[in-house]
Amino acid sequence: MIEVDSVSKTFGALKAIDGLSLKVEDGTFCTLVGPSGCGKSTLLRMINAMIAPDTGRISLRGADIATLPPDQLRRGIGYVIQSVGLFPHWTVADNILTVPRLLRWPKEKCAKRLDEIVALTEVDPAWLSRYPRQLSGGQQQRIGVARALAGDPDIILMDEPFSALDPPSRASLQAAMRRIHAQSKKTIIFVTHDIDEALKLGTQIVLLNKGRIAQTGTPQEILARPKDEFVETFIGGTAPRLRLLDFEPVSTRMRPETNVQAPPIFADASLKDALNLMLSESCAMLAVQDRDGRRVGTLTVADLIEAPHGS
Amino acid sequence: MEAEAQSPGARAAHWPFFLLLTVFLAAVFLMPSTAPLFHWLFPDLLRPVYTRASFFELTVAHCELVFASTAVAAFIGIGTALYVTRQSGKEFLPLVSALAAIGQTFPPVAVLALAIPLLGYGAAPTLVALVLYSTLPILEATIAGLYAVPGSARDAALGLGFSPAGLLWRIELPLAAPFIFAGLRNATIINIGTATIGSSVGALSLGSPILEGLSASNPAYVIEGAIVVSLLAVVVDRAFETLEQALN
Repeated sequence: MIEVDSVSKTFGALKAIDGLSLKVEDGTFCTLVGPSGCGKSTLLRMINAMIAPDTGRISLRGADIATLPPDQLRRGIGYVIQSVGLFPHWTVADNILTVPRLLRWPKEKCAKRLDEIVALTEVDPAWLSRYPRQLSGGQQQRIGVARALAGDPDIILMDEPFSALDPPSRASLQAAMRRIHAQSKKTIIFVTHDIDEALKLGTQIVLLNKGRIAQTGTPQEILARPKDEFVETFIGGTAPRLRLLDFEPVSTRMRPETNVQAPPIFADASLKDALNLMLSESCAMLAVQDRDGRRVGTLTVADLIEAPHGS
Repeated sequence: MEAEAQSPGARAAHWPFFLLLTVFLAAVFLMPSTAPLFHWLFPDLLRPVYTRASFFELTVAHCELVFASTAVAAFIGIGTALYVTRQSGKEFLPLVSALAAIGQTFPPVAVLALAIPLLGYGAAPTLVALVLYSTLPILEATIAGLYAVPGSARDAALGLGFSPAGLLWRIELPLAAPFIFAGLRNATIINIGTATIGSSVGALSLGSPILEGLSASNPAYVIEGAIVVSLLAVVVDRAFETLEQALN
């Protein structure tokens, strides 16, 4: 667990972090999101002691990070930055093995880990003997992610890792992160200024404004119940009501009738899939089935607009 | 670049290294047998070839001056550059840059003149002048090399858990090495030329025939000294380049 306890940090006249407290449970994919200058990167860089807080304390796995030697601490935390920062004079394989070698793992263990990481992060093995400059931006950041995971840290910090990439590379790396998080259950702290990315990836969203937490919660909570005007404005562009349909299965809105004929949809499909199907089939009603193909209910367009029990 | 390629010196610099080395060694060892040539060029001179010391002796003494001074300058220059680019020495960077620039504006002859009362005549004041003079290019090149290390690589290295010493040895110095090497090359070549003035305060060097030729109105001595010292500079420069290519 990561615990941030009433931390403040001032740079000159700027209060970057203002008495902020936050708890992140193990296995959480936590996205820190907010406008530029809200303190999200500062908060991230305080977790691995790259920036020291003026007041307050931060503890990882129950230990105050101020009591640990910074380089030892950081070897146990993955770190990915927007500008990637691969070492230009090392091959891709050497770059990936940075942390295992800092940890002085034996040679065989390093070689085995390299194979695992290449498979996990879908790195093309042909790249391993190349130098970073021979790779595209998206390929380089994939190596950046591989390097952060190589030492098998339980916490990974990512500072706007995909912001500078072209949309296909970004989408592909986002998908990779979701998969890696689902498989490994690592704790990920992910900074982004892009609320779409934050909602897409995060299981816990932390919305920051002026060094304080404006709101924190699951994507659904943020979308359904924005706490104040700032949050409402910040998520406004994302079509929040439409996006909420993504997080809710058909089964929560369907009515029990089973006699009407309509195009079929699974009960565990999302409401967004249901709406999409209605639009593409030009119909206002769907026949809901379970995974065995048994008819379990009916979903109408009215159910999408208003929940039957008024949620 | 274009203009440089036109000059004879630059064209000579493209000669294969071993050809140049052969020409240089021939100049050093065969100088006494060029007496007829210099006698023909300057028929009025009684002694057309410098004989007070052999050119081999002069070359060895010259190289000793250059090597010793460049080594000390490298130690001071690289050490100072490392210090002023660390967190603890950052505040001294402007001061050191200013001092080094001022040092460069000081003519080496003036340094010699100032050093004589303290160190007497001979090699010692020459070494001081050469060290002062060649520290700057090494210092500047090392600082430039360390600043050329991408900030992102430094940030990533620290964030992944490199110690400050590990960052320096495994990331910063290897990436700055080409710059530092170029600074060393520059300093060595400067010192090969400047070491000749050491002979004005009694140090043995390839400047000895040049200075004696100037004071005794013997142009043959001047030409002989100048030929050997310029060939030495070109050969050493080529050697640096060959080494540089081998290291990459």
